[in-house]
Amino acid sequence: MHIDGQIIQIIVGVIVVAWLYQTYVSLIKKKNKVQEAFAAVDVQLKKRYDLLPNILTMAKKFMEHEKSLIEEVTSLRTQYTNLANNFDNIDEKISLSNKIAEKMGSLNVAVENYPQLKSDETMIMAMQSYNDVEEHIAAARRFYNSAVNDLKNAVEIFPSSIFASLCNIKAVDFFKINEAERKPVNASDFLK
Amino acid sequence: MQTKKRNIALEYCNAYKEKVRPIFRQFEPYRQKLFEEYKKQLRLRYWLPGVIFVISIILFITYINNYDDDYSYIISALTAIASFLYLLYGLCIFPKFKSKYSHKFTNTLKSNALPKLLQVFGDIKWVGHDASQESEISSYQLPENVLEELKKENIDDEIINEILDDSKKSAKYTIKDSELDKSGLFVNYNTRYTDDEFSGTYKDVHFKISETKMYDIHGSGKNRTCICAFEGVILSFHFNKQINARTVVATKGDFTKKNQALCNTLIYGGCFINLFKDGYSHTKLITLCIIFLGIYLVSKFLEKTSSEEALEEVMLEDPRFSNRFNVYSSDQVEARYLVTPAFMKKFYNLKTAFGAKKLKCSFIGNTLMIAITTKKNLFEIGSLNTSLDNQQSIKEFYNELSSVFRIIDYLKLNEKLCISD
Repeated sequence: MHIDGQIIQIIVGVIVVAWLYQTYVSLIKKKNKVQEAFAAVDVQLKKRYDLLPNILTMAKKFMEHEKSLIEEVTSLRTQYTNLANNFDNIDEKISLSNKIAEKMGSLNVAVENYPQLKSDETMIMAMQSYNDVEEHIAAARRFYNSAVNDLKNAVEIFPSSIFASLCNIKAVDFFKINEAERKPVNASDFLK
Repeated sequence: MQTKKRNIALEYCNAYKEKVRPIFRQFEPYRQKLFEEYKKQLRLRYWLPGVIFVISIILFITYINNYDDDYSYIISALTAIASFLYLLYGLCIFPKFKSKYSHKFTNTLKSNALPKLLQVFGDIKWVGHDASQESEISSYQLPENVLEELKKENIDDEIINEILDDSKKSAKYTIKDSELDKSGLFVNYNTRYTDDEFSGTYKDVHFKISETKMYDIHGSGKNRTCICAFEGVILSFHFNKQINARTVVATKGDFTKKNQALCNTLIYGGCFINLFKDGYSHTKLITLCIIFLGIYLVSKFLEKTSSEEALEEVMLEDPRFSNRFNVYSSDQVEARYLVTPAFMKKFYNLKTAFGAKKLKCSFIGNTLMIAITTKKNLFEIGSLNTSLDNQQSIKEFYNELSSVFRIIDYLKLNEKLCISD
């Protein structure tokens, strides 16, 4: 069986070019996936901020002693909505989102002290919708972290790391949960 | 919660003692008579030809060495061949022969006793399938008002006929073909048989159970191929919540994408071996490249033009779950909303009384469909060859049905779709 050397060279050449192109395509896809995942987080966060006014209006009626907390949430929401809708301010968005989640957590605990507000039909509906959106945010955050993990692996592991540095593709940070969520829950705080 | 469980078990025991056992006692003489008839037929059809076959073979061996007797060995050989062919035919139709007796008995028993046992569980209906129901299906028609509405909307007769055909085919099943198609769990099948089916409501969750076998049958006569696509039980649960995307969780190697990949490998491998079995040539190599490129382009084109939404693999963070299951979805966020870390843990540990090895489930619309692969004959309360005083089947039936309720409780399907800790 005689095989022409030139044909083998051509086949090997085609395979190498196809592999290089595939590696490049895969890197770009991973980079775009991270952006897509962050856009998904953004959509869910937007849903959260659209719901906030309803909850805050309800809370204002009943929670006279929590005015500062409500104002803080309102101010953070305004800051978030003023941010430009692009991928560059990702760290700022994550930080603001975590702060709002922390404040909303405190607000949820505070609601427990207002039985009238807690049993209000509109408030119950609003809180249910809010919890549902929070679950969607958690899901979107997991999608984002999974995409970031894929990109990180591609950017840091040889040989795709060479392409990444050539194309100036950099890994981004994971969407970490805020410090308040990280702290262990002290049950006695809720039983006071 | 524990008290409620105990109460159902107690009520079930009482229902069995008070309502079902008297029915079983009435049925016992009928079972014995039918079983005797079955054994008699078994002796006539199998034992007798078997014995004749063995005797003929012995006679043949004896006579063949005895040259004085010219015809005896020919007669014994012919008898042996005839009895062997009869036996072979009998073995071929044995499943049909057996089911004729056992199905007749179990279906009569179930239609009399099951409603009394099911009362304990609440609003549950049982549907058993036999030949008499097939005749009902052939005469099934769409209600007059639905037909009129279709005609009013100027829908073609051809389309109406298609809808009618689909309705006729699906009328016999508790879980309709269209629901199975929508779930995307079963693709490669064209024939479906169901045995026991149930529908009902538990804790406000409407559910359907279908003991199903699916086959992919092609060709006829010698060229007929029959591949079992699924054998087990399908559970369908309805929610009030609407899911927009389709998400499928399947045991590794048990979903179409993987099977498709294997199929492609076999096709490409087959092409390669066939083309180069007589030696190498440049023309053959170029032909092979063109074939591969053609298949690739056509499959890509079909993928793009396919009306079905493309499912993408979802990479999840639980390594134990990911080692056993694959998750595909048309929406990455919604997939993670449904398949939470808590769901992964619960689905992994899902132990049912069905003796399941493979599990797959699909979330679509407002339905969660779970398909459990098992060869066990489920939901039986008695059998032809066991005395009806034996309570083993009654216990197993309770375990099987209550395991469906345990799935609802375990996955908290009555509370909310998103499974959280």
